[in-house]
Amino acid sequence: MRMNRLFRTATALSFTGAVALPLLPALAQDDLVTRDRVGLADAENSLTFRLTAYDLYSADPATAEGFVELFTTFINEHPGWRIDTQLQTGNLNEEQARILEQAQAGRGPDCAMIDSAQLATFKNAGVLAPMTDYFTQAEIDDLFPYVREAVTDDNGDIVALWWFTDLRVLYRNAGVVPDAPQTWEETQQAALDTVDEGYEGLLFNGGRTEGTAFDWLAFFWAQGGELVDETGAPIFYEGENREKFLAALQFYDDLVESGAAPQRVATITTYDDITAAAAAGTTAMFIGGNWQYAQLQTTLPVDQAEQWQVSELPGPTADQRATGTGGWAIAALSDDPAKVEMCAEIAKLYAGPGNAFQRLLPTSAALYEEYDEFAGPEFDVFAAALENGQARPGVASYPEISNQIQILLGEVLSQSKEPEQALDDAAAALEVGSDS
Amino acid sequence: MAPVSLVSLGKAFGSIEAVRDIDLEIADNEFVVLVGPSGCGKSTTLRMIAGLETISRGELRIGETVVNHLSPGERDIAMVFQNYALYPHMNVAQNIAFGLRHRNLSRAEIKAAVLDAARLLDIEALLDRRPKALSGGQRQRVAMGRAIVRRPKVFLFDEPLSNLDAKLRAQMRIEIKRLHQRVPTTTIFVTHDQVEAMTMADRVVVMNNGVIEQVGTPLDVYNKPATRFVAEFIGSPSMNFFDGTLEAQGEDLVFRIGNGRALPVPRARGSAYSKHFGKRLTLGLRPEALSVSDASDFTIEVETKVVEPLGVETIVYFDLAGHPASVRAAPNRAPRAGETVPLSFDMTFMHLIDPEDGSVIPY
Amino acid sequence: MPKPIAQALSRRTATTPEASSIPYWAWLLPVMLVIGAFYIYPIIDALRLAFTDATLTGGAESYTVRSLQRVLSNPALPTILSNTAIFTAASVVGQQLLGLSVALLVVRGERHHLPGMLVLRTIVLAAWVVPGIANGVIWSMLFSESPFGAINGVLRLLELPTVAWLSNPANAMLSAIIANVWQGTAFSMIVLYAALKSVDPSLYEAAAVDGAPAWERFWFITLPQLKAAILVNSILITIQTLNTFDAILALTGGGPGRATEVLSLFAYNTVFYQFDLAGGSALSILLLLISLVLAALYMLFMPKRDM
Repeated sequence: MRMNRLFRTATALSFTGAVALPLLPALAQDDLVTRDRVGLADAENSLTFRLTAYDLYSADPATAEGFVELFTTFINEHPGWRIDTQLQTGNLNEEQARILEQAQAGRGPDCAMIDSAQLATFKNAGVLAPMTDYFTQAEIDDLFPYVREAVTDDNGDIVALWWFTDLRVLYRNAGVVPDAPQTWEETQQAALDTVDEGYEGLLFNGGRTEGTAFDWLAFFWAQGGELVDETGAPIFYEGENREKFLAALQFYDDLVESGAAPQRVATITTYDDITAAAAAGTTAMFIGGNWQYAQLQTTLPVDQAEQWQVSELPGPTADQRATGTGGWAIAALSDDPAKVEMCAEIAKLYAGPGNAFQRLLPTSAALYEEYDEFAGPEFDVFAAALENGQARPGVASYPEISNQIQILLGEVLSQSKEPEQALDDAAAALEVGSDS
Repeated sequence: MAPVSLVSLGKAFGSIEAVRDIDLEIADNEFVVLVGPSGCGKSTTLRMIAGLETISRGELRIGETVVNHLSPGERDIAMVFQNYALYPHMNVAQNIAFGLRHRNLSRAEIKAAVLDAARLLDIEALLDRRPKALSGGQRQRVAMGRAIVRRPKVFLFDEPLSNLDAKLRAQMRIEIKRLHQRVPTTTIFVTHDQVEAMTMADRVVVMNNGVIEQVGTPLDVYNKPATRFVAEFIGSPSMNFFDGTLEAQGEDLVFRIGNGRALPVPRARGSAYSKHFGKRLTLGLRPEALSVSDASDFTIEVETKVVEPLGVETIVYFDLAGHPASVRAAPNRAPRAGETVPLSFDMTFMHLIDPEDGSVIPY
Repeated sequence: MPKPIAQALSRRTATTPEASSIPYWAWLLPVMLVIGAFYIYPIIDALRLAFTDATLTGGAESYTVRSLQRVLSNPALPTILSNTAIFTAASVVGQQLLGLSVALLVVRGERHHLPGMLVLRTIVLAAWVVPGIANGVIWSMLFSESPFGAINGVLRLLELPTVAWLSNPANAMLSAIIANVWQGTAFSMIVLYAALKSVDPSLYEAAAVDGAPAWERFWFITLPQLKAAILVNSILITIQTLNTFDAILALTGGGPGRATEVLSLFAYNTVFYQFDLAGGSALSILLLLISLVLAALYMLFMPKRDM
């Protein structure tokens, strides 16, 4: 999710010519961190690490600088090692597919960043090396349950470290909406009130993008809805699930039809679009990711920034809640135990100091205590909401289910199909697709 | 079938005056040839008449109408272009018929007109062909057919023969001439080839540097050139020129050329030339006014440089008093190159040119 | 050339012993190898994959026609195909018309020695070198329906009603076409500009003398003379547009719903979103067939060589 957002930003930046991997002058000083390696060029051990361009090689100089420092300390503590870094491009789906394909052909990196949404695919393909031995039982126990489940394979082995998570929350400008709406009804009313005051209303992802499906699924999950059965076959359009699905769909449909949300939500495909509207002050409410909180804090002047507050996503009733949780994992794709161990160490670097530096949400409770960076009030909200966290189902059919949900949400939001019709069409498409 | 008047016609491209002060009256059905070296303004003049160039100055009349601001289509003219400009995607019949589209004719009438024109030019068999499938001469005929079918007031030809080989060119010259006889139409023909001008024109208009040097019948401009330019441009090989002075010798006038030899001036020219007495002038004599013989009472010996046998005659080149010159000789009596031969001068054909302004002194 | 010399020359070129001992196909071998390796092989492999159950997530492939059946019986396919047809047809027509207009304008401007023609050409061309993704991003900013969207902002300033450029399914297709035409116009302009420049100017003069007004000169001279260029251009634009998905991906992602999802985007999603290599291959073969059929149709109208 976060990657997708950053990918859009990076794309937007790259055509304006701003991105040129501004590697810092600091890099040249000690030659320990360069464009394609961390460590000394003649180190006796090496492993390849496929990472995204949002930390060590970030376009943001401050971020890159911080990670150069972290990695320099790290490599000094692991003498004799060299990390050959390979950068993933911004095209998330293609990059993940490429890693998988290369790993199966035996040409994959030793260590790689993997989107938590793709973990199941990688696990099922059997390309991930077990790293259980390199974690203490306490470390494993401390992982959030949905995280632990996702990184554990059928043999009970830990095969990846899901090093940060994210979640969706409801943002509001407390100056306009003083009290956090708890239910769908309250949300719609609060949004309508902001429209009366000249705002756009509630914004959320509604275009053809993963975020659209994932943000919205929280409202389906809040009712206890299930996307797939234990065999991984989609069941959301049948029986009780269908009712819950339609109820959540109706919530979005009503938002647009009542004017509580503008029709343009059907065109919103990046969280950045929403951040931009919030920063411009054209909206007073939106459904967004936790990382947007920090963005607003750094973008807006203090007096405006402190107006923005977060609360748990509303449910059909105040005690039916859920939120989609994503994030990224680091996993080893090597058979060499030394490299697997090194990969686990890199993962821990990201999970601890890395997260603290970037203020991404760690996936284990202990880390929130360990670092002062997680002391803000927003983290209390995030931590509380994470209790109702729902990861995407770890099944191979999820991408296509998500695709169909994006399509049907687009059709409903653009008022071109009624919810029932849209769901029936999605179901038909999935049934044709699932017979293989 | 209309007279054409050019009154002080001029054309400027920016600050460059391509054509100046063209005054020309072309009579109904007259065949006029504009001739001159490239860049002399003859094509620009023709294009102004066609309406393909705007007229910067002066007035152009076709018949009674001032046409300065009429589009080419409104002037009722037809034009044959140097590269024929046949429409490549139309067959010959369509090419010829294209100009009839605004005539309110029935299909049958158009067909008849096209057939008529084709018959006149002997291209009936080609009517279904595309221009690509035609020879140069055939294209030339189609271009003419396209012009003739409209029975325009004026025919314009822009160097139409320059893309043909020598033999075909001679043949087409005759055909154009014959066509003009059969379909009398005011015709303005542009060429850089003085032979075409001489053979085809009722009147020749010699142009140079954007102005008219002389207008006259072919024999007029040949025999009585008005300027040194005309004298030099018309006729092949070119007229010989010798610098010298006009002097008295007893009662007679002589022209003393560079090497001191004096050539006797005919008595008849005496009164015309008297006021130029003593001036530095240029003598012009066509090659046929000279002969390789010692028959006359006055000869000059020269050494021949190059000898060009042409069959019917042989051209002998030599230098005289520092001027390159030539003489026509009968093939059987032609000298060889390098020989020293006596030259006779027939001074009744002489021209005297004022080197100051290049004008030929009238007599 | 005198006959004996001509004969000697032709004998030399045609019957050199070394040349005649090498079979004719040997000369074609290098180019056949290159085409085979870089063009034919991928097509054959895609064709092969279409008849398997291959996925990007690995596992043993086996041969089956079910992938193909699945793709062809997908209920979304008719929508996708009609989207593709509308998008492609409108883009071809739009790019030709706009490209021809700009080319005519530039040629006319040059004929009258107006300044700035080179600048105009360069500006139009600049659109062409913009990558597809960036094109989509640019237009998504222009079409944005947020209060700060560029085009709607101007409409608001002029006190005109704003337009749901992307959130209305029908408008979204129109917007995608506009973005694609904007980008592709430069290519058409260059092709047609070159073709216009090669039209013999005396044809226009002849037609003018023949009394044809401007529109007739355009209709009877320019268009027939451009016929070959327009057809070739149509083939190129058609294939280019059929294969375009990056701009749409960045502009609408194919939405809302499936309103702007074209065949190439569908194939891309199938491979890179669903990891369905076999289905994606089947779709690309379908795309290839459509391209070939359309190209063949255009060729039927191609003028004969005696143009």
